[in-house]
Amino acid sequence: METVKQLQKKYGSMAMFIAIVLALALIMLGYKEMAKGLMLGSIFSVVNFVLMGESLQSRLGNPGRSGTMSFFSLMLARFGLMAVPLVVSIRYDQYHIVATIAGLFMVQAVILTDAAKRMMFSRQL
Amino acid sequence: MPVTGTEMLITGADLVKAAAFIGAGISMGLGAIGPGVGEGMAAAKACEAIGRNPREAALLTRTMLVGQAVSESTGIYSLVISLLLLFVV
Amino acid sequence: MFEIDPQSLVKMAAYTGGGLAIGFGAIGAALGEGYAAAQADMAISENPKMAGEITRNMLVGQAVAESAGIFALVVAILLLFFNVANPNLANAASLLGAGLCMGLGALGSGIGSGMPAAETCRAVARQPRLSNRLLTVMLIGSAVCQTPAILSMVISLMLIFLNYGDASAIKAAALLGAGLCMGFGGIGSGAGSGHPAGETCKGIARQPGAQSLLTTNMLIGAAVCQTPAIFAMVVSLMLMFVNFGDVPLNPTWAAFMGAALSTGLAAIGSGYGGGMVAGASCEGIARQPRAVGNVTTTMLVGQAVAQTPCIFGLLISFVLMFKMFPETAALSPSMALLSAGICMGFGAIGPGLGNGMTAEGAVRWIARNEEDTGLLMRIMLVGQAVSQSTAIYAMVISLVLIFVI
Repeated sequence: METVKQLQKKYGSMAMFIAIVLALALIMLGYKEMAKGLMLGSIFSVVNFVLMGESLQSRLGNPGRSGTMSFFSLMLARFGLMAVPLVVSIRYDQYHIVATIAGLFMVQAVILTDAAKRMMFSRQL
Repeated sequence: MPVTGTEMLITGADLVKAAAFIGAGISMGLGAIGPGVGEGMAAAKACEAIGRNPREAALLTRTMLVGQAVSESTGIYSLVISLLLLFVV
Repeated sequence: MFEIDPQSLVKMAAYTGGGLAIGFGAIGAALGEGYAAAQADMAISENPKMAGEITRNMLVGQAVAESAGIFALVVAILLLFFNVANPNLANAASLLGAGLCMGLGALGSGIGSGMPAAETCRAVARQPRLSNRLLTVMLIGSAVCQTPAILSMVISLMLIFLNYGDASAIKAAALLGAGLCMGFGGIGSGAGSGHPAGETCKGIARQPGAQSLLTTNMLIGAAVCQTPAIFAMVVSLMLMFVNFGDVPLNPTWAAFMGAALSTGLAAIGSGYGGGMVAGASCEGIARQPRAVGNVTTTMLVGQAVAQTPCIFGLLISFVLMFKMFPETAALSPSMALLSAGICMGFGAIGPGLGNGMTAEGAVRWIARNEEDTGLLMRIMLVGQAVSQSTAIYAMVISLVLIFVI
């Protein structure tokens, strides 16, 4: 399943790259808490995306009852994992909460921007 | 400021009326779901049949209306029960 | 009659709201993703050579479909850790409302955005070379399905963070109602807009040349099927921001709850029904691209009629919000108003779905048999009118409960 790995690498690295650029820009402008929050959220967003791919590959190779159960329990575990940055940023003031929330959607934002770009430049739609 | 319940004077007759009103609403509300969906299904199938065979449109429309009228009856039962709960009880 | 320390009341409401938010949100995400994964399994068994490509599409679709769940998670965590400066009954109601609003709103969007992902996996198995185009269209469709979840999130964040400066029990009822209304209102539109998105992905695999027609039609259909969610948002915003002046507590709290339930529940049927119509029209255009004019027109007419029950609900909501009710110490007048809302809300679900089904059948067969468009449109309108009658009974009973009792 090479293509899944490539896709994860592409979107994951793109999300991290954008997050780092935005964070550097925020630090330059003096919003240090926001930059830290954004990085925290983005890291967990990428980790979630990678874990999602892993769980999906094990689910699709194994369509029985045990595969489905582990798919759903992994999904709940992923939700639990994503709660961590939110709790951290609420507890510690050095992470800005809004920036953390924005960071959690970094992978989704990258995927959708990529699709919008393709739709605009392909002239097929 | 402690949160307190509002002052209400609830008598037995008032409670019965309140229950009758809620019952009327639930009876008509839930009673409208079944006939609404059922009549929709009948009409969807009639459209399908007319699409397949437009020459029988008149017959199919009549059949659809008869089917819908029968399915409507449960809605009318709910309406009757609601009106009874509102005005007779 | 009862006394609870306000701090505990607010905490209780916030914890319950947080639980409801993530509970319903996770159910929606799990249903959507589970359906998509099951279809992906079928697709892989149809065409095992494309397993890598199908898994890739599924992964991207799942990542976007899950965002409704993540919205719910964010709101739930905010609710669990939110500290209220000076707690009162209105804060408690707004936090509980925020949780309900986000949870129910994410339920529909989660289910809906699983459909394009599922259909894309099936389509890739049949037409492997269209994989990239299907991916793009799927992402647009799934993003459109997220709109009701985003509206719910906006309302629930407003409920959590804005300060309404009014701690009365009436405001508490209005804020809880605002949450309930937007929450219920998002379910139908969210799940419904999955139909056009899914059928578009399926249709592109069947008729690749019709891609632009299909995408345009999908966007129009999904936009119209989201109107009920917008009606619900209007009622929510009114309950939050309109100053109702000096109204007596006792029947008015029930009137506000009734107003919220009336539009919120009514939007479920109309939203899902509108989605079914839009789905059938996308399927029809893929089958017969030349019929696009008639199909789109019939779709819009059908959706407009399917929206009528929701408009009845909106009407009853306005009456309940803006009519002045005399003060009373008895229970029955307030129960009559609450019951009016419940009656109209539930009563509109069935006709909304039924009208949607009728229009679905008509649109599907207009695409297959274009010469009989006029005949089919006539039959559709007759069928819809009959199915509408039960919503009218419900409206009559509601009006009797409001004005006669």
